Amino acid sequence: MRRRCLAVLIAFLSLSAGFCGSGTRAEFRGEHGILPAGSEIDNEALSRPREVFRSEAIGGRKSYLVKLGDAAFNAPLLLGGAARQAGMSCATCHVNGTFNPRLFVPGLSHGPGTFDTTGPIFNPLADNGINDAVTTPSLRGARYLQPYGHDGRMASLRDFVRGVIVNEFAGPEPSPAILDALVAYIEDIDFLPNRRLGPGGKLVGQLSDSQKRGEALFYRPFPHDPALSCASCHIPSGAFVDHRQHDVGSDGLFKTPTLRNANFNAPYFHDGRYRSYAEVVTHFDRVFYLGLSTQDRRDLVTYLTAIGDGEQPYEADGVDPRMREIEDFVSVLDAALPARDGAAVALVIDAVNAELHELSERFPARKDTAVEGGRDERAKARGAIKETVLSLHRLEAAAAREDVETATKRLTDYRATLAAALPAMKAAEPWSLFDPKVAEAYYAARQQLYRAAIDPAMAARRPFDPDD
Amino acid sequence: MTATHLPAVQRLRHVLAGLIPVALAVMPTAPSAAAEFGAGIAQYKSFLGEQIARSGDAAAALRDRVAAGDLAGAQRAWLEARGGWEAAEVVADEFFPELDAAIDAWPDAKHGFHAIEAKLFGAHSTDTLAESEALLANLRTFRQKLEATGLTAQGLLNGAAKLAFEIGENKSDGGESPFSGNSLAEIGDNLAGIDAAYREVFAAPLAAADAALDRKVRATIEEFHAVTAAGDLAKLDQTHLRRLSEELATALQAAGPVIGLQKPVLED
Repeated sequence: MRRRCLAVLIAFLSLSAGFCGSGTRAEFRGEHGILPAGSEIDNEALSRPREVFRSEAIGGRKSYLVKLGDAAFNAPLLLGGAARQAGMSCATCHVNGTFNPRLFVPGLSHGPGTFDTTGPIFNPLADNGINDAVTTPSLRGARYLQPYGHDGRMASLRDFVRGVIVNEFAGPEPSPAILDALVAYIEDIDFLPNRRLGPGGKLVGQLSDSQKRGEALFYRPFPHDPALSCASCHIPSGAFVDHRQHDVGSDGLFKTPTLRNANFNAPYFHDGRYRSYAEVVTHFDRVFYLGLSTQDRRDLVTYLTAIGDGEQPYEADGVDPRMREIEDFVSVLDAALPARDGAAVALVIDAVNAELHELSERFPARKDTAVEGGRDERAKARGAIKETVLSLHRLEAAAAREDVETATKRLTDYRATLAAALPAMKAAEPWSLFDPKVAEAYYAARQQLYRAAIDPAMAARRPFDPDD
Repeated sequence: MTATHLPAVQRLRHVLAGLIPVALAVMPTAPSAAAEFGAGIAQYKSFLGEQIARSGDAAAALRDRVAAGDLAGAQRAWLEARGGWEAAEVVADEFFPELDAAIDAWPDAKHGFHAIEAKLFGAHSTDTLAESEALLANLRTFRQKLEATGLTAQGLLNGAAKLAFEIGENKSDGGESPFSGNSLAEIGDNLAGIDAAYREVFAAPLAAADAALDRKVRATIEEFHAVTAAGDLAKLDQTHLRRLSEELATALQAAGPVIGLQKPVLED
């Protein structure tokens, strides 16, 4: 859940980007700093994508490996170079294991939600000299979706994850154990359940006529190539993928993306060129000469919307979910400290520290004049979180000395400090950025400030267009 | 750290080098009451007065340059005013929270340093006369209140610990002064303020009561200076800075009871 208020601009380009989920709107912003002017990497939505873990969905619990992998996924320490400097982690782009529709880095993005992993900023050694930005894929159901990468270049999820860390984000070589944990975590992220999908990927229950027609069209052979149909590549019984790459007229060979939970994954295609199912259907109609009528296209969209759905795609952000996540991470230390697993301990502490700082920022300080009310409550919450951060620091120092006995005591102290902080956080929550009205006032003030900083000469520039 | 701020920091260090032996000579070896911090507090208050005067003078120049439509001059004056303010920040929130909120509001497009910063450095406009006049008035009020207020050792320790923590919390990633790119210089100014508070008010009694803790605080501050001397935010080791920030806040918290004060709170 990473997102400190990152600071990154030189000039003030533009202005606002919508994002999915409920919540606020925020402006592209930035400061003199690590990322280019106009960068937007935070996701400050009031609702966050819901993360379903397969282990829990089938009645079990998250393993040590899954929790360690989750912590590593949220630790800037896993990455290197500019990403770590900017406080980014894997979770910056894959928010709660999905994606970040607001992610935008000028020069590396075609639009919000896309990103060029072979650009000059994060690992100059991987810079290929072109902006070939792609969407950040959701990791829901990743265990079923090999090969990996939009072009399917990696058969192994483990190899792919290592490549992202080391080659794309200039991180240090992760240990085999950390890679195992990351893979365990990613493979535990399940699809959101969809009660409309029955055995074999067939729609079940009360279906509309349009859905029925759409499903039939989905299986219908293409007029000019009867060996093909939508379903021949998006195999319904197999998570709507065929594990193969195809040229579908999108400038190269790309693997078949899953259609499960795809309602929440826009923009579509590897480079995010389409914002809606309607645009996608129109593309296939044109490229494969399908001869679809307007009604056919509508029916296909209706069908795609039904199979791409998922239950409770978002959940409200707040103190409680944040605390649950922090405790999940910290629980790793119960085993990692006595095992003297320095790499695991360091990643967990880094992830928890980032979470605590982010949590603190949700309680506006006294100088945040946009927020009224609850001043004392907010101050107490911030103070309590800061004490928790220092408690974690003492734990970190003992662990760095490999003084397991002291570190274990510090872990107990940390838990007590965090438990003592919880009532203050809960009391301040109505005046925090978890509250829609408070968040609206805060982000409106921030947007106003950034708009005041727009140089008219810069604002008149056209936004970046990859087709220029 | 910008060239604008280097002379001030160097001057501060020069002054401190001369003051420390004096302070060591006059401070009791084991203070048991807040009154025993009086001499150090007086010295530190002198430092604060100098910083706020510097900020106020620069704010007057800022107002004049804005009125004259001199963007470059206004930007230089803003940076100078900011330097003095940040060096005095140990006392801002702790003793004068309302003025602090008016002078250093965030996010606020109408009041304070950052509203002016957005216009000058973002929009490259000098259309900020009203805000500049208000800032000047608030800084003058701040100076008057500072002169009239009796600073307490506990309040100064609280302020120093809070600021030490704050540097690692949200200043190090560049977010303090986003439009001017002045954040690294401001970290240096904050550090100069903490350094002065520690050396003038707390170093001698702590050295007498717990020499090891005193050495730890001094070493952490020195390391802090070295890390922030990177000169480029992108080259700053953020993790190291965050740890130093927490280390210094922790050490200052530990110092409180050792020198007869309460453990400083980080937010109140």
